[in-house]
Amino acid sequence: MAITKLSDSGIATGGVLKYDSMLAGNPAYIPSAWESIATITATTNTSEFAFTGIPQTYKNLHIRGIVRQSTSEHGYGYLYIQVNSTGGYNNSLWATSTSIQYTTNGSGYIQVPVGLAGSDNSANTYGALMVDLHAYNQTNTFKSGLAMGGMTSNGTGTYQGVGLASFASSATAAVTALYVFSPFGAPMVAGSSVALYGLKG
Amino acid sequence: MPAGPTFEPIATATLASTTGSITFSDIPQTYTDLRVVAVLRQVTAYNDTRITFNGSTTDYSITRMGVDAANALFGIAPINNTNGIWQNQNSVGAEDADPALFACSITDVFSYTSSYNKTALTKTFCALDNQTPQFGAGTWMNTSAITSLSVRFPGAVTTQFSIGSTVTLYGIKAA
Repeated sequence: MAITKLSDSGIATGGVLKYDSMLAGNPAYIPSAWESIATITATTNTSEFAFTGIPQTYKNLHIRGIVRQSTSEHGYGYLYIQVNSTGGYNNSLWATSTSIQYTTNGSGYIQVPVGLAGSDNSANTYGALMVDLHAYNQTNTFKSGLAMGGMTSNGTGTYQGVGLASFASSATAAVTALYVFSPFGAPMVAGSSVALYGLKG
Repeated sequence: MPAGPTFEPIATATLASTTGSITFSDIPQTYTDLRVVAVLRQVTAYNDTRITFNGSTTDYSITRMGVDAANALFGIAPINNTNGIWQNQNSVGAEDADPALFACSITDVFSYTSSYNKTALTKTFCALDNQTPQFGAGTWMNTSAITSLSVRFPGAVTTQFSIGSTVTLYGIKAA
């Protein structure tokens, strides 16, 4: 079957090029395996970034961004992420500030160590975070993942460092919502921005 | 809803001859974050390397943690006013005789076009000898948009990256 090229570039006057390929000279479209689902950026002080109605069409979720809160940092600059409405997550955390620290807890939330800068850090400095939440749409497996956060501010502020966390829950419900917030209720300042991505399998 | 690719290669440099630094210039300002994936070896004994922005070798603040050769966790207090984003154990030195051995690192640079200081997170890996996993954070205390990026050695180090070393720069878009 001959295919007609949709654009007219390269077509001689009065002529129509015929192709055996369905692409008809057009570049192939290759879908990305990593798609941006939504981004929330604070323009004023904001208490929570809520991602709701998360599509169930991916294999894994990736969350990344920069966050600064309006008050001084609290221990190791933990940023919290609540999953669905119930939480139920446990964490194993490694973080360094002036020395390495290791701890575990059952806070109920995903904790990103040093994912949050505070007002005691240098101006214009934000904590960075990356979180991978695996098999989020499965309803027969517990959810787990990895988080990494970090920030330094040239010696200004109590907590600066890098941290890693593994987290898991005993919930099998599919993840349909994520809520990003500071653990002590301090709002996130303008410029804080968190993006949610879906990774296809 | 998703629209178009969000994770795209911008450029790749693969060394056909040894060189002291690898630079990506005129970085498009159309992404949200950058990712640098480096596979490196150097022609002399091992040295730490750095990532620098816009040709600047000042005003970086860095830290890292990892596992040492005795399998103990360690963390290093932040170092201020230094010369680049720290890349520790991201390159193999000539003391590893197998020329096929390279080390890998992944560095994410966040909000590189913003008017904020630029924060980066680094993971480095090499499975042989005493080169253990390392995890780092660093901030360039500068609010300029990043338009060029270099993988290089600290100022006093004059060695070069080996032939075959490869660095790829990716762009990550947010919705």
